[in-house]
Amino acid sequence: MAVPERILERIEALRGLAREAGSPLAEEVAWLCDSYLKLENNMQKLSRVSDRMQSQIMTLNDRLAAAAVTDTLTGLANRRGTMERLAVLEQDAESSGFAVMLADIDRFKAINDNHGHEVGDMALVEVARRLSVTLGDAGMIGRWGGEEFLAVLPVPDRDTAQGWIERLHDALRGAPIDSPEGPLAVRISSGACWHRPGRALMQTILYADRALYASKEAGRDCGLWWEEAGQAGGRA
Amino acid sequence: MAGLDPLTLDGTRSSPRVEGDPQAGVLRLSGDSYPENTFEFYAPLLRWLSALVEHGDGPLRLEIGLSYLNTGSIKSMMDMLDLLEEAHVAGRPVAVVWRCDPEDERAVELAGELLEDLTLPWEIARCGAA
Repeated sequence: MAVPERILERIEALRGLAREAGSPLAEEVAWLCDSYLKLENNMQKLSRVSDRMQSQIMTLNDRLAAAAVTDTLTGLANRRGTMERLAVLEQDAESSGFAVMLADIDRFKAINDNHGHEVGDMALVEVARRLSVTLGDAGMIGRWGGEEFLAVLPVPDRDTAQGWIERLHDALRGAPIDSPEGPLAVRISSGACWHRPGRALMQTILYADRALYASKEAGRDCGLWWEEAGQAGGRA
Repeated sequence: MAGLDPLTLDGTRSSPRVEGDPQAGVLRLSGDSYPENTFEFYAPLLRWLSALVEHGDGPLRLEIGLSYLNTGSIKSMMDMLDLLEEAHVAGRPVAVVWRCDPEDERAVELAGELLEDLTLPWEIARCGAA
């Protein structure tokens, strides 16, 4: 207990004076002195407990903030987390833009229907892992929703982005995904769009989504840029 | 105890359920405790407990089964425990039971910290909130 020395000294001096004065003053003063010390003790205990609670709340807040932007199944950023990252990139005035790629697992419903949702979840986790490992620090992959992933590619130009898109497709073409139901050949289709500064982010994502749709129409397991979605070129 | 009415308050999201039985000499709190005006909430409880201590000689028992307590509630627990400690020192049979969720180490730690300096008989029961 850390009652300041100067207060303790005066309390003890007061007790001495009261003892000399005799009862009932001595008892009353002793009671008051004890009460003061108990109060001081309680206050310190309360501060300690309250400080601990505050630090626990801060830790929980951090966890909550992380959970709010994380997809629980795959551990990737969820849609909110992905949008936050995109918003940060958009704020970069120096940037000449970046690429956004939307990827969707081909015939995912069939995986769920034929092998069950557990295997479907395993496929989602493995696709997320492969895309994320392949891209590494070059960008970020988020789970956009369902079986759809969004890759943010903050690279200098479209050609570099195209290289990454091809590597992301190849990450799934390389080897089937192991599952209790046997190896699964899982593929993605993708659509990409270069985000130009000044354009609304959601517009860029909408264009990438249209290109993704065009990839599905073109036979799946391929990628198209929005700028070329109506033409033959731009495939990954 | 004759003359003292039972004390019953329904719990809310932020305030505990309170059951005070003067015949049995028991005050029981359960739920969460973070009322907006904590001291206003606890003032009548402290008055009730004080009356129970002053106007009788039967055994007293405080049962705390609170999951979350804000700082004001912790201060109010200290005030109640101080009241009972004084009664115990004066020779009254007193017991305190603090029920904690066995999974919640923080709650167990808090209970321990508030009870450790007391000489009255106390127990931390790891059996979930009452």
